[in-house]
Amino acid sequence: MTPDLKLEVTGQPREYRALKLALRVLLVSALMAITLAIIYWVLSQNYPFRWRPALQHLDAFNKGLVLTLQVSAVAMILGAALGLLVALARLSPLFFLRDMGTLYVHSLRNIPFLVFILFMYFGVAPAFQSGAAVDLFGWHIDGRLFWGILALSLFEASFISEIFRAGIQSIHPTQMEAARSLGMNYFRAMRYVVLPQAFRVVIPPLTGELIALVKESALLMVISLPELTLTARQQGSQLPFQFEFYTILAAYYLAITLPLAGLSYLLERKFKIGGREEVS
Amino acid sequence: MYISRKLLTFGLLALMGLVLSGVLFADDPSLAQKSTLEAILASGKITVCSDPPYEPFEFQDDKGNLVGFDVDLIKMLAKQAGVSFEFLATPFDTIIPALNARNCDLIASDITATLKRALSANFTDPYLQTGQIAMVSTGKSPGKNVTDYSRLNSSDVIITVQLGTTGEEAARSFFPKADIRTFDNAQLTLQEVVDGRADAIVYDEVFLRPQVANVGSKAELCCPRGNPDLLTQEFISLAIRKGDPDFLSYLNLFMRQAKETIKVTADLAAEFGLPAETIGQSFLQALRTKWGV
Amino acid sequence: MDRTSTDWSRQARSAFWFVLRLGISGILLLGAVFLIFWGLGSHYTFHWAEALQFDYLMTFFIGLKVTLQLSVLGAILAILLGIFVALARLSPWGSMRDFAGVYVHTFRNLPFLVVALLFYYGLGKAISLHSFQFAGQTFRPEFIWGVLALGVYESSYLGETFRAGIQSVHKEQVEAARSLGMNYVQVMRYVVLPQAFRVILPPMTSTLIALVKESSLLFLIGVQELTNAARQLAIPTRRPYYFEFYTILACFYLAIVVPLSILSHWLEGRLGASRALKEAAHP
Repeated sequence: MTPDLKLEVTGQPREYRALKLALRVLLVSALMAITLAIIYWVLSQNYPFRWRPALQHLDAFNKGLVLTLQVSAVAMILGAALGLLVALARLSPLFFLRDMGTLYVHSLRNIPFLVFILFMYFGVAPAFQSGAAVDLFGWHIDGRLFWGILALSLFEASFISEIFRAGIQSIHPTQMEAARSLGMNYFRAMRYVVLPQAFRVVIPPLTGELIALVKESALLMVISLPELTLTARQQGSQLPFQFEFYTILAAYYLAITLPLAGLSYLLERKFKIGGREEVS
Repeated sequence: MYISRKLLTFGLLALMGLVLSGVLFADDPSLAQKSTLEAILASGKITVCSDPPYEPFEFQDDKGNLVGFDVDLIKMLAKQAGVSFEFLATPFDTIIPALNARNCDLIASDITATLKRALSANFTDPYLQTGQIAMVSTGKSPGKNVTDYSRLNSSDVIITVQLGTTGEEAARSFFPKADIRTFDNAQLTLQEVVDGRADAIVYDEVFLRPQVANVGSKAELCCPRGNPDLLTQEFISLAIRKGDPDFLSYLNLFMRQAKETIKVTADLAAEFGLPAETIGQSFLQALRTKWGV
Repeated sequence: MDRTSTDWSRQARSAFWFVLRLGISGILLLGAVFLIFWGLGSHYTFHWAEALQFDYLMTFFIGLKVTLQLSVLGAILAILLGIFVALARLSPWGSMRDFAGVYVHTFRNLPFLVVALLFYYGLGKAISLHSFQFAGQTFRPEFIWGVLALGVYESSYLGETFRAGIQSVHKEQVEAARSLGMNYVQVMRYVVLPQAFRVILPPMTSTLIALVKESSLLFLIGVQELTNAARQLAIPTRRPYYFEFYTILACFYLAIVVPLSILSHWLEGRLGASRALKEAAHP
C-alpha cells in the first residue's frame, strides 16, 4: 500500500480540510447573520425598512450597473495605455521626459479625483466643448461620458504608471543590457525582453487598481452620469426608501469589486514573486 | 498574551454595544413636548436649515457673508423675537430629515409647500408664490428653437434639474420623455444650460427670473419666450417640525405682519440694505424689490 | 569619502548640470502651460484677477480649516479602530479573525462615496446625532457622520496594515523576548512594536494621505469643507469663474497633500521599510 502522500504533505486528507473550511464559512456566516440581525433590529426601531417596494426598482440599478462597468472598462484600457507611456517617460534617459512625467504623476496623485472631475467638466470642458456631445473621429459621444472617461483615465494613469514603473524596474537591468548587447535598440529591447517579463509582475497590482477605478467611477455622479451611485441618489430623492437604496447600492458595488478582489488574490498567488510579503 | 487579546476584543464588543445604545437612546423625550419657540427664546438663537449657494435666496457675497432673500427674512424674524440667528448649510434632498433630526428649528430655503412634504413637516403661510418655468439655451439646438412647453417633452431634449426639488418633480411629470439630468447644486444645474450643454433647466420662477440679467444672451426664459407661463403653482413657505402649534401660529403671524404691517422706514432700509424707493412699502414687498424676486 | 579638490569640482559640475536641467525642464513646462492657456484662451476668457481676491481666498481657508479638522479626527478614529481590527485579525479565535476579515473586505471594496452616503442618509435616518459644542465650536451631525465614515472606512485599510506590520516581526523575536522573562506588554513595547512600526509607517502615511483626499467627498452630505468652499464661490451669475476656482481648489489640496507625501517619503527613507506593503495599502 503506498502511503497517502496527501496526508504526509498537508497533514490532513483533502476531504477533512474541505470540511473544516465549510464549517468555518458556516460559523462566520452565522456570526455575521446574528450581528446584522441585531444591528437591523436596533435600527428598525427608528426607521421603517420597506424592502419590498424598494426592490421593485432594481431595473434602474441594473442600467446604472451596465454603465459603471462600461465606463470602468474603457477608462482602464485608456488609463493603462497612457500609464505605460508615462512610466516609460519616467524611465527615459531624456531628463525632460522624466521631469514631465514626474510632474504629471505628482500633480494628479495628490489631488482628490472629485476635484479633478469638477475641474475637467466644469472648468476645462466649457472651453473646448460646444454642445452636449463631443464629436470625435466620427463618433458622437455624450459629453458627460467623454469627460468622465477622460478624467478617470488621466487620473488612474498616474497611479498605473507607478505600477508599471515599479514593475519595469523590478526586471533586472542585466536583461536590458543583454538585449542591447544582442543588437536590439532601446525600444525593441523593451518590447521583446523587458515588458513581457514586467507584465507578469504588474498584473496583480493592476487588478487592484481596476478595483480602485471602479470605486472612483462612483464620483462621476457629480457630472450627472447615470451610473450606479447617481441612480441610487435619484431613486432616493423620488421615493422615500433612501436607506434601502443605499444598501442596495453598496451590495451592487460589492458584487463588482469582491469578485475582482478574489481574482486579484488568485493572480497574486499565481504570479508570486519571491520577497514580497503576503498581504491578503 | 492570548488572554489579553481576548480581553481586548471583548472590551471592543462591549464598547461598541455601549456606544450604540447610548447613541440610539440619546433623544430627550421631554424636548418634544417643549415648543421650539420656547427653546429658541431660552437659547437666544434661531437655527435655520438652508441650501446655499442658491442665488438670490441664500448665497455667499463677495466678502464671504451669507446673504439673500431668506437671510433677510430670517434676520427680521430674529429681530422681532429678540434673538440671534444662524444658517446651516444642508443638502436640499435631506433638508426635511435634518429638520426632524433637530439640527435646526426651521427651514428657509425657497422650499415649496407640497402635500407630500407636508406629511413630514408643517408649513407656514406662504411668503412667495411662484411656479415652475423653464429657461432654455440660446446656443444649443433643439433648445434654441423651443417656443412651447410641449416641445420639451421629447427624447432629444436635455433638461437639467436639481435633485430633490419640485423642479425635478415637475420635469418628470410634464416632460417624461426628455433626458432629465440631476445635479446636487442649483448653480451647476443652471451652468449646464448657460454652457450650452443642456437645452433647458426647469426651476422656480423666483429663482430663474433674477438670473435673466446675468446669463445675458446665453439663455432665455420659456415658454412662451421671455414671459413664460407657470407650469405649476407653488407656495414658498417656511417649514417647521410637526406637533408645534405655538411656533406655527407665531410664524404665521410674522408672515402676515411682514406682508402687511411692517412698513419700511429709512432706518429699516439702512439696516437691511433696502433700496430707497421701497420706503413706505411692506417689508416683504421691499425684499422682493431688493432681490428682484 | 575624502573631500579632495577633485570632489569639489565634480560637485560643482553636477550642481551646474542640475540647475541646467531644472532650467530646461522649467522652460518646457512653462511653454506647455502657456500653450494650453493660449489654446483655451481662444475659447475662454480667463478671469484670474477677479477670482484671486482676498475674500474668496478667506472662504477657501475657512473650508481648509474644516478639512483639516475632518482629516485629523478621522485619522485618529481610523487609527483607534484600526488597532482593534488588527487585534481581531490576529486573534487566536478563527471566527473573530474571519469576522474582522468580513469587515475589512467589505469596506475596502466599497467606494468611500457610497459609505459616506450610506452613513449619512441611511444610518443618519435611523440614528439621530445631535450637534455638540467643543472648544467654542459647534460640530454638526453631518460633520460627525463624516468623521465616522472616514474613520470606519480607513480603519479597514489601517487594520490590515497594522496586522501585516505586527506579523512581519519574526516569531523567534517574541519567543526570545519571552524566554528572557518579559511579559506580554513588555514584549510588545520593546520588541514587537518598534520593529513593526518601521514596516507600518509608510503604508499608514499613504492611507492617511488618502483620507485627506477622500474628505473632499463629504461636501455631498453638507460639510462645509474645502471643496464646498469652491462650490459656494462659483455661481453662474456673479462669479462664473469655474476654471479659476477649481484650479485654486486643486492648489489647496496639493498644498496639503504634497508636504505630507514628502514627509512620508523622508520617513520611509529614514526607516528603510518595505515597499511591497506600501503598494498593497493604496486604497
